[in-house]
Amino acid sequence: MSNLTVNSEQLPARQALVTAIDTAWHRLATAGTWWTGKERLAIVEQVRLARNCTLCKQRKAALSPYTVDGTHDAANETSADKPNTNSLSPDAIEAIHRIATDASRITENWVSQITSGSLSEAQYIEIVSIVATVTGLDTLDEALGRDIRTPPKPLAGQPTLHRPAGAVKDLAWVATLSAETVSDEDPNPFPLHGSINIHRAMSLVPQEVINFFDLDVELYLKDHEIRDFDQEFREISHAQIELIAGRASAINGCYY
Amino acid sequence: MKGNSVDLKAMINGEPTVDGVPHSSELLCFVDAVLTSPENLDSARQALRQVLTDAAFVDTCATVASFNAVVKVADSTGIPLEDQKAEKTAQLRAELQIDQLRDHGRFGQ
Repeated sequence: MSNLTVNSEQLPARQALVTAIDTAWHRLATAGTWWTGKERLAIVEQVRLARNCTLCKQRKAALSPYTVDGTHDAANETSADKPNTNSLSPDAIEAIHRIATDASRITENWVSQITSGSLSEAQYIEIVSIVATVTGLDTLDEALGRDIRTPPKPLAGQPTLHRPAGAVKDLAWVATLSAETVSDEDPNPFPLHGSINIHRAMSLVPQEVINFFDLDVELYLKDHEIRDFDQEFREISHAQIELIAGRASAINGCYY
Repeated sequence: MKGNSVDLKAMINGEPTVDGVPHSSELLCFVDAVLTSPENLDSARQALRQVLTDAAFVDTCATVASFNAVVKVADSTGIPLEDQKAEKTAQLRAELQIDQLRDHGRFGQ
């Protein structure tokens, strides 16, 4: 066992969880496949700003979020105190805010539109991964009762710009890979994390599948542990874990 | 967990407790507070920590975090449920009205 520091307390935590949290933050600051470390941290910053964005609140309250137009508050922030924000396009900011605040009402039509201009489908997928990752990290901190973490400084480096040759749009609203179509040139997340649909969802940017699920399996469970009811892998039971999962998914309006 | 009966409707319908799951009341109150009512979070956290060990509390927080994150991956990519799972859970999903959530894909267009 290791520890997580929560204010003045040291709470016992699995070493693998503590490591996964630190690794996730390091990766957020590191150049990815389509965004630099600076841009990835700008996305993190936007996720946090979206929580208090007036336009996002108006859309969330609307019967249909697609009837409310406007500009995101966060896009108006100056570069003086938000040094990363200006490196993102309006389409990128729109994608970040909508995924962060109203993901359950995202439509295929909207994804198609937002990825038909300055934001590529692969850049969009990397945004999905970053939004999901920082949402997980910040939710953990808020649940524990400690301040959300100050992001690290961005690390130098350039994105790889690697688009898997085998990715096709035959499963989701975006192109995906499968265990059969991933090539030796692609990062291969499937042997490590599994290849069911949720693992394929972000496989257009396979490194992001690895990045996200390296964290998620420590927050939740590894794929093979989920239905192994003969053993308990956490300090709460399978039944308690699935109770939490079911309620959280229902609150989020997630069908999956 | 095997062989136990759990009221899934209560779990997703916002009921305050679910029979058959230890400390379900405190767990559900905590999840609700983290995700929808931060003004209740301090009291919900305090109540939860009265009944769980510190390590179990950490794992509870981690599970909430996971399911506030992974839903964004599913919702933002339109990934479908696997055919086999959909078939096996068709009746359950109908009873719980989970498939209605999937209709968001046509909402507002």
